[in-house]
Amino acid sequence: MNELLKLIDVWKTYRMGAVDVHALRGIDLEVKSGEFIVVLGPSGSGKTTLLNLVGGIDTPTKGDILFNSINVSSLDEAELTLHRRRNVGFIFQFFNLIPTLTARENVLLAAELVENPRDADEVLEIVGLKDRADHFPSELSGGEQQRVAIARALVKSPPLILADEPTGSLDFETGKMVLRVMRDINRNEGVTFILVTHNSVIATMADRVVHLRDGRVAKIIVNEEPAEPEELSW
Amino acid sequence: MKALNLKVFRDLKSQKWQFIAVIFLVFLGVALYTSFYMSYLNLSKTYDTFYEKTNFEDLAVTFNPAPEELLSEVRKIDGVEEVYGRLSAYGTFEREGNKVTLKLLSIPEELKVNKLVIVDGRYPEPGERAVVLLKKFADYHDIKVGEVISVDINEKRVSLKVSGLAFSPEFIWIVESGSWITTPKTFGIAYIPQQTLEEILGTAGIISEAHITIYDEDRVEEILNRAKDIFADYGIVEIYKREDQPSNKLVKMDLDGFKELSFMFPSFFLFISALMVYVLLSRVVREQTGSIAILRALGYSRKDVLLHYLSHSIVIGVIGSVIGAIGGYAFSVLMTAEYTKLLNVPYYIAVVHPDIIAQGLAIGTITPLLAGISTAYAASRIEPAIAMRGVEVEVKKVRVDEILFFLKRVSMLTRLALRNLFRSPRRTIYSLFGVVASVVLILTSMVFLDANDFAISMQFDKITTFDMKITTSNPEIYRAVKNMPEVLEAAPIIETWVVIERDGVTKSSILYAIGHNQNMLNIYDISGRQRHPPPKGIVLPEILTSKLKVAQGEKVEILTEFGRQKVIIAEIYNQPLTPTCYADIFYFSKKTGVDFNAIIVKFKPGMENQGKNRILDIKGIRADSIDDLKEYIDELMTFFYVFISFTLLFGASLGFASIFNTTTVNILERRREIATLRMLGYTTKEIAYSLLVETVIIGIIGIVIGVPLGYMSAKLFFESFQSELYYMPFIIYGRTYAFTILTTFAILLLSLLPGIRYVSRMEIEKVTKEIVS
Ligand SMILES: Nc1ncnc2c1ncn2[C@@H]1O[C@H](COP(=O)(O)OP(=O)(O)OP(=O)(O)O)[C@@H](O)[C@H]1O
Ligand SMILES: [Mg+2]
Repeated sequence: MNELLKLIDVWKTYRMGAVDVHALRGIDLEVKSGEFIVVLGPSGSGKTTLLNLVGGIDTPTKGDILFNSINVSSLDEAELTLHRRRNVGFIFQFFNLIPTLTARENVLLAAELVENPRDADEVLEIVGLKDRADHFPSELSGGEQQRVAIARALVKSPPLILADEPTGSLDFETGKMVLRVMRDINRNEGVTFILVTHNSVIATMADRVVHLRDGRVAKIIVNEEPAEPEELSW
Repeated sequence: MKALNLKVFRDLKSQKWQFIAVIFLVFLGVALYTSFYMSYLNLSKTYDTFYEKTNFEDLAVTFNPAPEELLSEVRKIDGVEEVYGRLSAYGTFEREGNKVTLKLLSIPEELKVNKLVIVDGRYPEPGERAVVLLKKFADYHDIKVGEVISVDINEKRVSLKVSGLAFSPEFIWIVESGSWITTPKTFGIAYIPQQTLEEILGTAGIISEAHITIYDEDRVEEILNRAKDIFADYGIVEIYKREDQPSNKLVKMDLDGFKELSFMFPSFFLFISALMVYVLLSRVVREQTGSIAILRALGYSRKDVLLHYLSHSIVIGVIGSVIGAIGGYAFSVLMTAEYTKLLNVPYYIAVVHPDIIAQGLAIGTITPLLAGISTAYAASRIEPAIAMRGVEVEVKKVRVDEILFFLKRVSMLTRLALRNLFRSPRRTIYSLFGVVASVVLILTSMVFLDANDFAISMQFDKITTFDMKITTSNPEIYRAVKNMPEVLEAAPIIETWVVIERDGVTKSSILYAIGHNQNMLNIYDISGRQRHPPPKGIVLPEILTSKLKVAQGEKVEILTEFGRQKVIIAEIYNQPLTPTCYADIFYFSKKTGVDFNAIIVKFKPGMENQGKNRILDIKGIRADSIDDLKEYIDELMTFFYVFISFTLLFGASLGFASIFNTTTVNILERRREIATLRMLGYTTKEIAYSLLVETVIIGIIGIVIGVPLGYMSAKLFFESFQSELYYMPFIIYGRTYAFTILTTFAILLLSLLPGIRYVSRMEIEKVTKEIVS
């Protein structure tokens, strides 16, 4: 498998008045195309910061982030926008759907950004929401909304999907269903996933688990036999 | 409550521009109300004290020369207080190469009616060869007390010493009755001792005007009729009550304007400010629902919450109206001072009217308070339990774009903009109100410019295209003028005042008898069509005939300078600007036996100045130049233009403030969605486009509603200024619509900029953190 993403000594420092907060302190990481990575770490360890840097909504203070050999950390605002448009799909803890658009329209909103998007109905079918396509977010359950968010990330057919606590506001069963969808997409479509969580149970379904602590990679564990989402319990 | 008070200011600070915009509207509302109303009161008071101090006439009769003794009969009428009888004559004198006409009015030893306020020098002694000039006229020509001027009166040259400079209640505006405003450059009033004028004219004990004050207001009509009877045998020239006195009539017309504006303007601003307070406060409450629930859970009472949110309104109202009242006072002083500069008044009164200030403060405070009550009340009803459950933001699910088939193919971004319009329809409607109000204000002010331009071009490009008017009935002068090398065209006319009587109703106007074969004095009707004098009979304006109840073809008796005549009403139609009576000069000459009494002249191109000077050299005539008049009108218009600029500015700021508020409130409220769009990969430009679509739609709807509404409001407003003196067709030029529409869009775009800037500077990673945490 070829290399999709490479982080070399990535630092992120926030200046808070007189003090520097080092959110990331020299991250080195390689992600191969098609991998399902779980980033695990306690609150404040820098997980969200890492995702933001990779997704191009924030820039590192120091270090390089290579995406398909392109150095994301040296892109300007317009190029970063293009990076987000073409290469990355985001999934958030609080789904962030546009409340005035229906499920399908929320997906279309993303689809219209790229030249050859996937069919909106097709991706909705993949996440199992074909028959709810005309519903507004407020008419959908939390799990359904999160699956719309996944469909929205998927429709651009990006090589990489970043998910920040995607099951954080879902109940156990619904959470598992959402994870199932993501794993299937990863397997069937070859989309690379980086999923951030502080729930160590979820880590068992990953190909590799990156442990973050105080802005550093504490350890990386390779799961020889990743668990299926259905087998998880917490 | 202390921390809670602090929160009021934090809230205000966190949206300081929005609050400042609302405060600005309250400020303008209060400032405009107090300034216009106080100016109205100031001017009213200025005129009243001036009139009182000078014992301004209650009625006046002008007649053909009659013996002075008749005045004692007038004095005997029950209810009459004082009578001032006088003689008048015209003279001319030369000033810096210009011929200036003086209207000489005789004064007795002591004036009891229409007293003069002497501001420099003294009242002349009986028989003294001296005059009192009106102050502003003297200032215009830089004539000082003690100076001697040589005046030609009836082909006689007399030296008159200027003994004093004064103001007269009769001439706050200097208008010759029925005629245009005159320019001090060529026309002035001079008061001269009766004895002196009699000596010069060679008459004795003869007068032609009686100015009367009465002590019994209720009997004014009766006294008027009896006074008329006394002079009837000599021929009545003109008769009027105080309210019809030419100068006073104009003064009162303007005064009404000030009063009207003091209600119309502020209501616009306060109304929109109320809507904006509602929008702002409901957003604050919506966003703070969680915090309110927590406050309630902590133990704050409903009343505490209610008062907390009401205090936002109070802060807006108090700041806005206090600054507004102060500004309004300053503005009223300025306006009174600047306006009275245009007038002939010796002083002006500009005082604080505490009642008006109090009203302004009250209106300015109560308006935002009322606007905030429902929202504050809703806030106080929020249940503490919500703090535990979290807030569900309800969104209207309207799919306009699905209903309108042609929108089915537009991009999601455009659809998003359309849907957002229906997201909080009330807020959309309020910003619409702002745009509509702004369009109405801009259009209404522009219509006044149109009216002004129309009047000027109608008057000077169509009706009167001559360069000069010479008052003379001397055929030799006519022949001489006609043969001057500079003169392109000269034509005789008859110009006279006219009184038409029918069943006890009298109406006065001006009559022009003109020839067919000239095009320097032309007749137009309201529809802009050129008309010609009828070969027989006279043309009367409809505005007069409707009051007199006479019809075409009927015979009426008219009274003019040349006595009484019976004439046929040949045609009835209104003319734009000054409604006037017309006749053919041959017809009218035959009736009156007068060939002409004035000559109108047009010069060859490029020879205007030479020609003008040559004519001014002729002795014993009065000559008025149109250019001088135009110049003076321009001068008077400066105040008007400043005024219009202000209303335009206010109209624009009204639109700006309201659109700025709703768009920024919308953006702040949707920042999470906007951040999501940005994360999906939409550029700032694309998001700005979506905001633009939203605003432009509001703009288009606002214009579609605002333009007809503005048309109606302008028309109403305009018609309230129509009078018998001045008839103006309601005209809106195309440029006005274009200007209104373009300005409205410019304001909309401008008010969108801060929002777009906010979007482009938004740190998405922070907003997403906000979301995630
Ligand atoms: N904008 C910022 N300014 C200052 N410090 C920040 C900022 N964003 C993050 N931090 C700090 O950086 C560190 C890492 O934050 P980050 O949000 O990446 O943690 P996280 O691992 O996602 O935590 P959680 O599991 O609670 O979401 C924290 O100490 C945080 O306080
Ligand atoms: Mg996080």
